Amino acid sequence: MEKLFGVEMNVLAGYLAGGTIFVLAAIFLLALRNKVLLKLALRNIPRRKAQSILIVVGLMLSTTIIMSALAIGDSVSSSIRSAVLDAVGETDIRLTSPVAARFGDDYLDASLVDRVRAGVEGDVRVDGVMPLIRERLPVLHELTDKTVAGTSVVGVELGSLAGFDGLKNIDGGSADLAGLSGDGTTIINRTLAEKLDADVGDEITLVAPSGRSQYRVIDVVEGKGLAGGDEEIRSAALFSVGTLQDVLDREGQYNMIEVSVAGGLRVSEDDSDDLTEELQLLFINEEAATALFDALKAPVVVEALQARLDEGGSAGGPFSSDTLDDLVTELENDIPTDEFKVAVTNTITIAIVGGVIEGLGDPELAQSLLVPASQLVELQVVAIKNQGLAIAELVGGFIVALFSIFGSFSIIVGLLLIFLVFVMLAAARTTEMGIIRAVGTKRRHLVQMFAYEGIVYSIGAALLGTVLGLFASVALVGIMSGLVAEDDGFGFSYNVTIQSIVVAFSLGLVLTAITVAVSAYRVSKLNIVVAIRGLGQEFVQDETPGAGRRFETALKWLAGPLAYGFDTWRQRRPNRTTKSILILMALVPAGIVVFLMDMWKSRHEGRGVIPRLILFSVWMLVILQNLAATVAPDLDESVVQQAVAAAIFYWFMVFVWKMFKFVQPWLASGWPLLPFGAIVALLGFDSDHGLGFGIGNAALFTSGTTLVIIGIGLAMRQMLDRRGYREEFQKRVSMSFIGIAMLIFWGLPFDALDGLTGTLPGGPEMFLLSGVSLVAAAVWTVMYNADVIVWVVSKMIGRFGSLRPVVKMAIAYPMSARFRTGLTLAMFSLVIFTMMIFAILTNLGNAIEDDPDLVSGGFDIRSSIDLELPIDDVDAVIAGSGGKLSASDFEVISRQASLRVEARQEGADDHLFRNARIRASDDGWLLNNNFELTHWDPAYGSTPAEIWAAVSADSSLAVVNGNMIETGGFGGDGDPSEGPAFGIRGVKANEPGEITGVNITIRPPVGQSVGDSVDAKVIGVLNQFADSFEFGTTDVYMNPGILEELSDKPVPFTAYKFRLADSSRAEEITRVLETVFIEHGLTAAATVDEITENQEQNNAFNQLFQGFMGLGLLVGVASLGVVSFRAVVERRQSIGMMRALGYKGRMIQVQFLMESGIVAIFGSAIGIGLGALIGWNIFLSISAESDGLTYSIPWMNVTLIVLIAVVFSLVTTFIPARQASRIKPSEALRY
Amino acid sequence: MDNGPIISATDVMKTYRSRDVSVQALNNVSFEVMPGEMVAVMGPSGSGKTTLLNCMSGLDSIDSGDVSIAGQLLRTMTDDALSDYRASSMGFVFQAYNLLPVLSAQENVELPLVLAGNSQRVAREKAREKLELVGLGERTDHLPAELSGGQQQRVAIARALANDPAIVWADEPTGNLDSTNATEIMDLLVRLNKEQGQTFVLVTHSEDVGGMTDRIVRMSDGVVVSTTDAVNA
Repeated sequence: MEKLFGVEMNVLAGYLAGGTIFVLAAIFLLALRNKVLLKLALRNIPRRKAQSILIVVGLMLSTTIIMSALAIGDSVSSSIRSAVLDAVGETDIRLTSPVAARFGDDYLDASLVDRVRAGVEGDVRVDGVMPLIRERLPVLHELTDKTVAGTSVVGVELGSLAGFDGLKNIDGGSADLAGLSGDGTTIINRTLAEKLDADVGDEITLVAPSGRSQYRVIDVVEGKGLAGGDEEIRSAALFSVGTLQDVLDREGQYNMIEVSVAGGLRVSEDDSDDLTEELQLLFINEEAATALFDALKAPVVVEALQARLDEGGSAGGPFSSDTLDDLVTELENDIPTDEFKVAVTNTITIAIVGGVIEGLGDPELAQSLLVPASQLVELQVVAIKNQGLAIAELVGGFIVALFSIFGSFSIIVGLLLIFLVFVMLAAARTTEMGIIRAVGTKRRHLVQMFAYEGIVYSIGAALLGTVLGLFASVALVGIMSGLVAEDDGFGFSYNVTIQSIVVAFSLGLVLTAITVAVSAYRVSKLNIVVAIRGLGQEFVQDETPGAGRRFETALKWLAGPLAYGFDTWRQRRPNRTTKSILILMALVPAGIVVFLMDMWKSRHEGRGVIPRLILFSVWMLVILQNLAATVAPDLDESVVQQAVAAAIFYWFMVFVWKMFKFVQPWLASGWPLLPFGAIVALLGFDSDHGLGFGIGNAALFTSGTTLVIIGIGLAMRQMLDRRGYREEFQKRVSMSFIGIAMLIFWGLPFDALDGLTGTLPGGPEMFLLSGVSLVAAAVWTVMYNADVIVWVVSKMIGRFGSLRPVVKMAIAYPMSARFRTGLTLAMFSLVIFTMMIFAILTNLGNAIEDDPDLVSGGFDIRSSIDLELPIDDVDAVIAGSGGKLSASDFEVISRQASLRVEARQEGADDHLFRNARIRASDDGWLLNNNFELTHWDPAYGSTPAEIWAAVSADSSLAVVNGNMIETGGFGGDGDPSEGPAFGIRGVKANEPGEITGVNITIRPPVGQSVGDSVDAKVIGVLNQFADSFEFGTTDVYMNPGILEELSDKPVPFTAYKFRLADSSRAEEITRVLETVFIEHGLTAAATVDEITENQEQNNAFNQLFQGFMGLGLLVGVASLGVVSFRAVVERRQSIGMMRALGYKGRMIQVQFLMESGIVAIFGSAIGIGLGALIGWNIFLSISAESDGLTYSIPWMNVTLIVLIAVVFSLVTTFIPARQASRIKPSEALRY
Repeated sequence: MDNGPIISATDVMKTYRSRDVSVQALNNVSFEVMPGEMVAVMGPSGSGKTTLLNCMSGLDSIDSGDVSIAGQLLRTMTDDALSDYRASSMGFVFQAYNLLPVLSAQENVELPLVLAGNSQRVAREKAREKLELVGLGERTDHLPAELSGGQQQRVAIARALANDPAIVWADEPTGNLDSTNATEIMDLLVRLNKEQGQTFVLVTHSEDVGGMTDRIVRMSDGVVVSTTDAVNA
């Protein structure tokens, strides 16, 4: 993987490693300054070995999760990458006709090959140019009676093999490519050999439009490079190009030219991109380019383009604005430059330009663009390998994102665990720390001590976590590779990059270190007396300095280092007057040195010297930088600039922190949160709602509202306080309000407030935010009303007399350490919550299995044939199948043709034509399919059948794929008109029902034929799942009449859908169909099989995913173990006393188990409840856009999860519980 | 039975072993306590006072010899049986009070009652009664941390008395208290001993405390060196 969330992995790894080194160096330097603290800290580690180990294990889990997510991403992208490399082999650049492969007019003459050769003549970057033919044709082996309908057949020019060698046969030797020069010979790849059951020496038959011909297999090679097949079909056969030219009747012609960049398989991406660009320039029609240039140079056009640029160019997708920018810049020249030509060959850019020009409303102008645009390129040049690798990268990144989003819950839980561990460590050492403070150490020394100790744990944990993450990912990838069907030749193999390891380790370490620092800070705020006497924290007095002091501090930091430097100096030299100091500082450069020395001398005297020094350096760097710029203007300033930027950032962050400290006491009183939260929430509103300044962001709106709720709660508490209510009551009422209000707010369906706020887009962060907020709210509510629960539990269990004393203690302890219990409960709930949601989501998908017609439309078999081998009469072929098939086997046989087009919605703002595909369907399909419609125009009917009948009767009517309308809400990007794919605006997925027909304009793609565009009307929208195996996300279903209007040549039917008289024979008939229609290269699949296979893969993937999230469960369980272990140590004396009172050993053990059990069960209950709620909301959101889903809770699965969670919690608690039960009272009571 | 000793230790040996040192904590100790008696075990630090108390009350095991309480040999009792016995017939008071920090004063006293199988209502009433007996009618719903040392020790005593045990073991009950509080606590213990007729075994190194009991057993280096009747006996 090269990028993570859009950041270069190299950069990320660099920064994180830098951060890690910085953290370690800072700690090291601090430690050097005060070795006693270091000793104190480090000696704590071996004191309790078991505990230290447990801590490291607890801490390592976040790193483990990060590492395994990254390694899985690495494996996915490297596997796809190697699949890409296998498939394209030495080929880096492919040149093809700009005309889409249709009707054979995509064949190239030899003269073009010569021009390519001449173009790269003497170029050291190129080591081969190969003209070739690639087609898909049926191949059969008559001896074994096996067929492969769509074999990738490749005709190679044997004289051009240089640069494309390296094919290995399956015995490991070099492939005998030269042998192809012999008549009637072929080399097949391993996949084809296995499918045909063919071996060297066998004869295989190629079925071509001109008839059948036989070839002798002279070698079987590995499926790589020229013999690698293509993305879909891995079966390949190699021939000499002459052979294929004969068979296909293409004397002296090729359908592609491939270029190999020197350097073997993995060549420089830049080289091949540069070369692609240069080659493209060679094949640009100068006349067309000049015509285009002149057309675009018209002032009115330039103005309009500039206006579009200023708008941000978003309508064509953000990725296009760069080339558009180039284009507009290049228009300033007098003649078309190379840069201009490159810019206009970008199809998206030219589409935007087309849109802008159409927007000017001048048809003549539009035409003047369209004609040259369609003639612009003679050959389309594509950096095919780079493109494939980019896709590998994209998919890998997507997988990591997926794992990270779900994994982030576990990571949060892991971080909470770290926090918990340190809070407990601190609690255990309160007395010690109190004494350390009492003998004169400072608060920051305590922070340092904890940081030292923590960093040692963190390093150990990060190391161990990384290693364990690697193991976990090996296991997970192993499972995944088992899931990927092997028959298409895609192998899934393990891979991990150094960068990922560095990122995982550093991220783990830095996250842990930050958490440790935060907990250390919290711990350091102890009150000495309270600590030594072992009192509760409620005895701690509030030590907040007055507002004046706080404001002063904040201001000083705003003024930056000067104010502080001045301050320090005043302390050192009290006898100097202010004026003299200022003069000295201003006038004498040496004063700076003196000042620095003074600061250094005073380093032991007070806090904050180091930060002051850093801040001082900021100013010094600013001065130096300006100085350097004047003295040596050529100097590379970037290093200095970065240092300055970093220092200024530091200063700014400190200032923000000080400002926060300034307002913090007021925040606690609640009311300032109200306006602040309200502003944040309003900022999240859609710009059409609220006060109009919103930017439409769900995260902002929800966070703001949450702040408002907390503000109201806190303010409520203050009001109750003023009225003189008891503290307990104040807390209960106000905190319960916050908890319950948040529960209600976050538990609302996602679109519940859309009326108020407008539809707010939200990404995966919303999932995380809502999950964490809900769990926090629930735990919050529970903890502040714990006594109610205690009462219920003790009433329930208390009936069993002998258990009463046990229950009493099992409840008393967790309730007395509410923070700890709350944290543990939250961790547990969070984990169960995610697993629950996932279980529910998995169950939603199963709806397709219940109703396969949703996907198949009632057709049992879908098939496609070779474009070059159309079927004239299906019935005749069946009749002539020699009894293998009969007409009575089929209830319906339907046909579809597809045609790539461009389409535009009438009245679209950007006038852009976008990519779409016409699925011209015959009446067999239109009148017999059972697909469901989500939207329909009542003017044409109110049932799917009526709508389809209308489409059948009128070739200007259309139904579109369910993915082409506006989606919204959960995870949807909402706007169908962004990007290059055609979509319909104004029809919303979550508002199914009647619509008014949408007028669209359809035309052939630019460059195919010019001028004839057709108006059509969309009168229906298919259900989202319908026909989903066709991956037709831009399919427009119409009747075949449309084809005549859009294409001057007949478009053959290439897709056949069969409904069988007996559905149960689908699998069998699928195979027979492929044999009977071999002359047409028919490949078929039984829909039910496809659905089942798909579902199985989905389920397996889901389970794998659940396993991954199970790592989080491990964290939750570990937390209970840690808590129990600590408890045994902390309560030694109490346990002794209880034993003295007559508690039996077993009772102590049961008590400990019960404590964990209660947390585990309550955590599970909260997790299940909230999971079911959010699962329901997700269901509502999805089902608003697609029918046929049912909500159900997979109780088996949930029970299993909870059972595992509770049982493992008990198992982890078992050891400490037994330890506790074995404590000898006499020893425990000794002191 | 009535006439025999309630506690009797015969030739009790107890050695604490750590890796390379072994300490003879009790060396052939034999001694008896009669029902209703109040005995103080005294001696310098490390003389084996606390060990003797732990061994005789069954909190700790012995290496050899015999300890019997009310005629029952501790050696023959299982850990569970001992626990039950402690719950029903013994009460403990420690120097560090050892109240359970998460329970209020009232709940601390209720605990042994609940443990003995009393209903919540009975436990509450009895606990209140005992707390009043030790002079703590108020502040009973406070946590131990919120009480003064003297108050905590009163709660501990009330807890020790909760089940009306036959024997109350007190290990340095006044060790953590100032003299005024110490005297008050001792007065309380003596009064309880007289009024309730329970047997008290106190470990102390304070002569003042020892002086208020019926009998003083002096120990040194794990051996009982003398037994003297106290002045007020």
